[in-house]
Amino acid sequence: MSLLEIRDLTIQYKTRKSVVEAVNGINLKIDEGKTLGLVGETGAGKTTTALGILGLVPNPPGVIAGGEIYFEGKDLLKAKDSEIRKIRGNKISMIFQDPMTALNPVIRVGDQIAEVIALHSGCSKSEASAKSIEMLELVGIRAERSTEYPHQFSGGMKQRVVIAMALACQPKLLIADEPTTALDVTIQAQVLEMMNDLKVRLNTSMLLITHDLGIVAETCDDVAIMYAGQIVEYGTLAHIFDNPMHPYTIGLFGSIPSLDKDVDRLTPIPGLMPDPANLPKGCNFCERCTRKCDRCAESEPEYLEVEPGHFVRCSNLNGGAENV
Amino acid sequence: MAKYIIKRILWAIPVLLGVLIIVFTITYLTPGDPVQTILGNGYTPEKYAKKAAELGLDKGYLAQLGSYIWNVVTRFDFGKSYMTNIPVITELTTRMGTTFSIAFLSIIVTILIGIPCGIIAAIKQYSALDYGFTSFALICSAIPSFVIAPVLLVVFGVKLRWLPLSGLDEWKSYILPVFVNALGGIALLTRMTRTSMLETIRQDYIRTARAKGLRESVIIWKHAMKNTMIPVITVTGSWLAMLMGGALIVELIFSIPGLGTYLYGGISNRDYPIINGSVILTAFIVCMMSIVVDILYAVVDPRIKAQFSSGKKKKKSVQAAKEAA
Repeated sequence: MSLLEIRDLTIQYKTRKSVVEAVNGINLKIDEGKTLGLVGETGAGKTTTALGILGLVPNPPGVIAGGEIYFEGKDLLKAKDSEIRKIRGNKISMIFQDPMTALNPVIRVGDQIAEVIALHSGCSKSEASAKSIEMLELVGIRAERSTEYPHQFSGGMKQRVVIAMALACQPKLLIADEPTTALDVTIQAQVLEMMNDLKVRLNTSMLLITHDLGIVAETCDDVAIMYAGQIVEYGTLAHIFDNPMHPYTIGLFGSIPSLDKDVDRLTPIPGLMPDPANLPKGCNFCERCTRKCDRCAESEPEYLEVEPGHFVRCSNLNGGAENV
Repeated sequence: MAKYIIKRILWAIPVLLGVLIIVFTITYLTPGDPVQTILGNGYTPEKYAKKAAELGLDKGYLAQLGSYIWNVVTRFDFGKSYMTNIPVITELTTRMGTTFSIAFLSIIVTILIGIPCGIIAAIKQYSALDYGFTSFALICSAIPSFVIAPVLLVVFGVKLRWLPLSGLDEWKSYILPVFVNALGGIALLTRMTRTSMLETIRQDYIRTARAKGLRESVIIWKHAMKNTMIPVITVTGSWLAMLMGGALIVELIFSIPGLGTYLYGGISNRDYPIINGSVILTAFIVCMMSIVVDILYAVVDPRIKAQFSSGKKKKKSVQAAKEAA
């Protein structure tokens, strides 16, 4: 069995007026030491999926309506609170999207890292703080800065602290939720390089959430494309990049500039994602699809394995571009 | 930090001087003649002139103000009461303790009840406990102390006879005045703490703390508490002045021999030195309290502290950074 296996996970946000279907029956698998990229636009349910793995979906209004999340063979959704707490920060840890707000402003950064070490390794406070300084140096922050507060750090430095904190207990699985979105490009490169390096050194598996396909190409082994709470295409890096099948994936590639092709205009995907509180009856992507057919609006497309390990959720795979 | 504290203390000086000038001017301009009040009916012009000269009331405004400030600043001399001829400072020092102890106990009670109520209401949002505390707070802040005090007096003092009606002779006599005085603050702190805690526990860094695998109690106490307290302290600071004013009124209702009753007596007798002295002392206490609050603020929030860290330290850290680079 893989390190992490998600089966048919469904997460909803229930309000009095409506039910927001954030994650609709997704299946994911991450093997030890591998990196899975979860790609999709804002609001596709990527962060909710990540929070679901850690049992951190804010409740209310969030409810995990169904599915199984197996980590090391154990269903996290059935585990007791105390068991999950032992896994959080220890075996699975998370790097959050916005480093500016992810650190507690009134606690010294060293203490924030030492806290998680002391909690899970059971070592003394002084050992934990020694280890926290080690972690800070690992991510390229000088030891004497460990007594400083988050407001004394720049955004990139804060993200390094967050990464140090996430890696402090040498987790089996690292969930990185858009770790570089809040950073500028040069710092992005540094942070990514550092994460890759650490991942190899500590043999950590990673779930990398992003909407940047460039980052995916650099870091991931497998890729899942998420749209409106569903995985629309899933495969290895080669499958997705060399042979994208789903019109949404193709659209994503069409909307990024390429160095080798000379085009005047990029081709964006027209339209917006459907309201997750009011998803269409058939295919969720139908409205924006360039090769939709009558079946698309009527029935939900099946999740097909088009080649070994390459899954696509589309009813009109061979329909070509007849309707364009 | 020391520099910050000294700065805050030095700032209190112009504030107090301002209070002194304003209060003195107001009493000076108040219609009514203290000499007449002292002498009563049937005095001769000579007697009047002699008394006025004795009290220094025959001089001009500036001369009176000047000598008042001089006496206060150099000798802590607030003059003598027109009525009793007892130096105001003697009365103030004996009565100050009473008022201060009521105010201080009120603060303690307010904090001990208001903050936990707010935290519980926030953690158990939309529970019966939350609705209970919130509506209690709403009711408390809506009823003024001069209404609630007589009601409590009738219930606990007259009907049930559990608590003494007036004075401050035993520990039981503190209960009603302190409670009445604290009520508004409890309501305020409960609501403020609740709002602030609700805001805090939705912050990303609380989610980070959860993702670390910490227990909920650790998250609340270690990660949310300090951040929750920052706006609460701000509000508490401005509430302290209200608390002192409330203490004066509560003293009147419960006939407690503190600054409030002294000030009230001074006002009804046009005893200007008493009015001036009591108001200035009250202002002094409020100033001291707000200094304590400001210091607390810097202790809780490192970002505030950083603003006031001394120039030397900054230079040192910059130098250290340069050397390391």
